Amino acid sequence: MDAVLQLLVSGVMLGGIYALMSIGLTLIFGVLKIVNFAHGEFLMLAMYAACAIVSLVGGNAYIAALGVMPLLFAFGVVAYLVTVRPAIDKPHLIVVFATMGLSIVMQNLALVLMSADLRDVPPLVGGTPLQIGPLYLRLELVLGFLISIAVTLALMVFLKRSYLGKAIRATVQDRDAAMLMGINVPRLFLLTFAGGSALVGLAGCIMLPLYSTFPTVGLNFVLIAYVVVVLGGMGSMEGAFLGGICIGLVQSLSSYYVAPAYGQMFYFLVFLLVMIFRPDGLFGQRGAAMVGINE
Amino acid sequence: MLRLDAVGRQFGALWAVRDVSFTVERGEIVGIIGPNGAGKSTLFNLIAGAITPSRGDIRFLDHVITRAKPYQVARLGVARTFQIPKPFKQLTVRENVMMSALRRYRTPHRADPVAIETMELVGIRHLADASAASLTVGLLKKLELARALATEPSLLLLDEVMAGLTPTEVREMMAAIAALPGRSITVLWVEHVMMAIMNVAQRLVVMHQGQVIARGSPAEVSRDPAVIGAYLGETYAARA
Amino acid sequence: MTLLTGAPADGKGIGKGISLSVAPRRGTVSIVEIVVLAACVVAALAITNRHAVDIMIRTFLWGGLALAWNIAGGYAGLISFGHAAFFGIGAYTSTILLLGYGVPPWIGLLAGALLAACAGALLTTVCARLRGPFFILSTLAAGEVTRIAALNWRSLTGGSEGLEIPAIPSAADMVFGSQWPYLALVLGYMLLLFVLSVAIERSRYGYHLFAVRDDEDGASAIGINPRFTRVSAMALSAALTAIGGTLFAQYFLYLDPTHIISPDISFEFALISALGGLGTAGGPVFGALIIVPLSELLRGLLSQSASGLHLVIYGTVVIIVILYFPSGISGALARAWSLLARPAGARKKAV
Repeated sequence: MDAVLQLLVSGVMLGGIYALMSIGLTLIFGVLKIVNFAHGEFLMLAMYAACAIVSLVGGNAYIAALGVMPLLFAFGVVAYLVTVRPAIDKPHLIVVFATMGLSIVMQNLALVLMSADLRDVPPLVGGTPLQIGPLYLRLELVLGFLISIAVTLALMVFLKRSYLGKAIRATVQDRDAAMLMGINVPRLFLLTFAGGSALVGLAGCIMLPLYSTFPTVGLNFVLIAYVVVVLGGMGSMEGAFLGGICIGLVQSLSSYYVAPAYGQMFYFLVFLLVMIFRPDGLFGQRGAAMVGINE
Repeated sequence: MLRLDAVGRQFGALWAVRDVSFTVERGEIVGIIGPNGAGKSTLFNLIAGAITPSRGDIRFLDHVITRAKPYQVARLGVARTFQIPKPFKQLTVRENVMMSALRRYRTPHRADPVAIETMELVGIRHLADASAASLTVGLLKKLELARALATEPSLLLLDEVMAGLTPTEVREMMAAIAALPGRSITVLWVEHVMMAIMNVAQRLVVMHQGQVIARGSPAEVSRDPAVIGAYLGETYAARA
Repeated sequence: MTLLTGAPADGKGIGKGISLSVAPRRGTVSIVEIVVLAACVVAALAITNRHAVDIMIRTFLWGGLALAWNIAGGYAGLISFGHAAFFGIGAYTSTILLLGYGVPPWIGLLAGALLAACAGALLTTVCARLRGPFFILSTLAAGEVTRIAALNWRSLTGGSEGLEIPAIPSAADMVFGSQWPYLALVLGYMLLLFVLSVAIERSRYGYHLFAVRDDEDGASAIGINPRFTRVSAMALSAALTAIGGTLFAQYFLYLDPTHIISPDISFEFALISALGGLGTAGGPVFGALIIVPLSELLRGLLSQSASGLHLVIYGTVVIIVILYFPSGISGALARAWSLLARPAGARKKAV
C-alpha cells in the first residue's frame, strides 16, 4: 500500500513540475497558435544558465531563477523576432521548420560550447530525501511542486484580473475579434512568447536540481510538454497543471507496473487517445483542434 | 426536385431552424430571405450537408439527403457557393474551375475546355492563369459561381452571393442567375441584398426566428404584414 | 511536346502528352529538372570513388524518400513528422521476412509497403479531424510510439541490438558485393518516384490532393471526398517510403530502432522536401541533391574542429531558407526564370 501511495504522490509532484514546464508552452501555443519545436531547447538553455549562475555566483538553482528568467525573457524576444515573427501569417509549416532549425542550432551550439558532458548542481540538503509520514520525497521535488502550484495560481489570477491577462484570453479565443477590440495583437504575441520563455526559465531552474543538463536534454521534455498542453487544452493554465499531474501519474505508475522503457510510450499513447477522443483537451475550447490554425 | 419536411436543427437549447417545410420545383429560382438571425444560413448548411438536421427530412430528387455529407450531396448534382469564397489558393483560376469539371469529365484534358467555357460564361476567362489568391472579392464570387457551375449541377445553392459586390457586379450577377433556368439549372438562393433577389427570384420563402413565416411571389411577400413585422417591427406591420 | 516559357500561356500546361517548361512548374517537367536528373545519371555512371558513390547512394535514396513524403506532405498538405515509422516498417518487415523466413527482399518490400500503407491509412483515419499543429504532433507521437514499440519488442525486432543482414552477396536476396547495383537501385527508385510525382500532379487524383490541401470545404462542395483523399495519399506515401526502407536495409545491412525510426529521420524527409520546394516534383530532388552531400561535406570538414558545428550551420541555413525562400529551391528557380523571361510587370503566378 505504501508503494502505491509513494508512486501516486511522487507522480503528482513530478506532474507539477511537468506542468510548470508546459505552462509557458500552453500560453504560446494558445495565443500564437504555433508549434515551437525549440521549446525543449529553451528549457535546456535555462538549465545551463542556472548551472552557470550557481557555479559563478553561488547560491542555488532557485535563487538563480532571478537571473535566468530575465535572460530567457530577453532570449525569447530575440528568438521571436528572428524566427517566429517573419513566419506568423504564412502557412504554419514555415514556423514549424523555422523553430526546428532553431532547435538544431541551439542543441549544437550547446554541444560545441559546453560539450556533451552532463552538468548539474549540488543538491540542497545533501541529497537525502525528506521523510513525510510513510513517504520519502526529495526536497527538490516538493519545492518544485509547490513553486509550480504557486505559479499556476498566480497566473490564473493574472489571466482573470489583469488587462493583459484578459487580452491574452481574448486572443486565445479569437485573434481577429481581439484585434477588432483594440488589442495590439502583434505586441501581445511578442510579450506572450517572451513571457512564456521566462516561465520556461523558471521551470529550468526547478528542474536542474532533479535532472542533469546536457545538450539534448530538451528532446526528452519537449514531447512531454506538448502532451501536457494538448491534454490540458491550449491556453488553459488549470488545464496545463492538471494535464501535467495526469502525465506525471501515468509515467510514475507505468514505469513501475509495466516497464521503465514503456513508460515513455505511455504518454504518447495518452496523447494519441486525447487527440482521437478529445482533441481540445480537458479545458480547451471546443473545436480548436479541428480548426487548427487561423486561416 | 428538392423537398424539406419539418426540418429542424437545435444548438443546445436554441432551435436555429424549426419545422421548416417547402419544396423547390425544377426550373425555379426560389429565394430564402429573412432578417438577421432568421436561420437562413443554418438552413442552407443543412441542405448542403455541412450540418445535420436534428429533425425532419430533406429529399433531393429520389434521394434522401438528410444525413448526407457535403461531398455526397455534391455528387448528386447539387452545387453550392460559399458566402466567404473558398478558392483553392495555390492554384490558378482555371485550375479552380477545372477541379469542378473533373467531376464529370474524368481527365484534366477533357475537363479543361469545360472550365474555359464556364469561365467565359461567368466573365472571368481573361483571368484564367491568374492565381486564385490574387483576386478581389467580386471576382472571387464569380469564381465561386464558375466553380459551382462547372460541376454541371441540376440544383444550385447560392449563399449570399451579392455580399460585398459593387452595383455593377450585382447587376452582372443578377443576369447570370436569371439565365440559369435556361441552362436547366434550378436555383435556391439565400440573400440579403433585397434589390437583387426581389427582382430575380420567382418565389420567396421568408424565415424569421427559425421558422417560415411567409411564402409567395416577391410582390405578395413584400405586402405580407408578418414579413413587414419581422423586418421592421410591429408598428409598421400594423400600418400594412 | 510543347515548349513553355516560365510564364503560363493558354492551356498548354493542361492537356495530353508531356508538357515541358523551362523552370519548375507544377504539372510539367522542366528543363532544369531534366538536366539535373541527367546529371545524376551521368554522375552515377562516371564516378568511381568509393566514398563519393556512397554519398550518391544516400543522396538518391533520400531523394526518393523525400519524394514519397512529398505526396502526403506537399501535395495533400498532410505534414507528417512520423514518416520514419513507415521507413522503419519497410526496413524491418523485409528484413524480418528475409532473416526469419528466407523471403527475398524483392517480395519483402511489397509486404513492407502494404503494412506501411495500412499503418498510414489507420493513422490518418484516426486523426481525421485534426488540423495544423495538432496533426503534426500526432504524427510525431505515432512515430515515437512505433520506435519505442520496436525497441521493446525484442523477439520481433531484436530490440536495441538491432538486426543484421549477412553480407553474403546474392542477387536474389538483394545483397550485392559492389556498390553499383545499389546505386542503380536507388537511382531507379528516385527516378521512378519523380515520374510518379509528375504523373500525380497532372492527374485528376493529384488535383484532388491539391483541392483538399487548399480548402477542404471547397473540395467537399464539388464532390471530392476529403477523407478518402487524405487517407489514400498517406497510404501511398507510406508504402513508397517503406520501399525506401527496404533499400536502406539492404544497403547498410544493419537496423536498429533508435537510428531508423527516429524523429531526426522524419524531420529530414520533411526538411529536404521543404527546402527543395514543397508540392513540386523537382523540389525533393533538388533538396536531397543539395542537403545530403552538403551535410556530409560539412561534417567531414568541421567535425574535427568542433563536434556539432556543422549542424549549427545546417540549422542556421534551414532557418534562413525557410523564412526567406518558403517555396524552396524550385520556387526560387521559377521566380528567377519569370523575372528573366518577363522583365516588366511579371504577372503573379500560382505556385
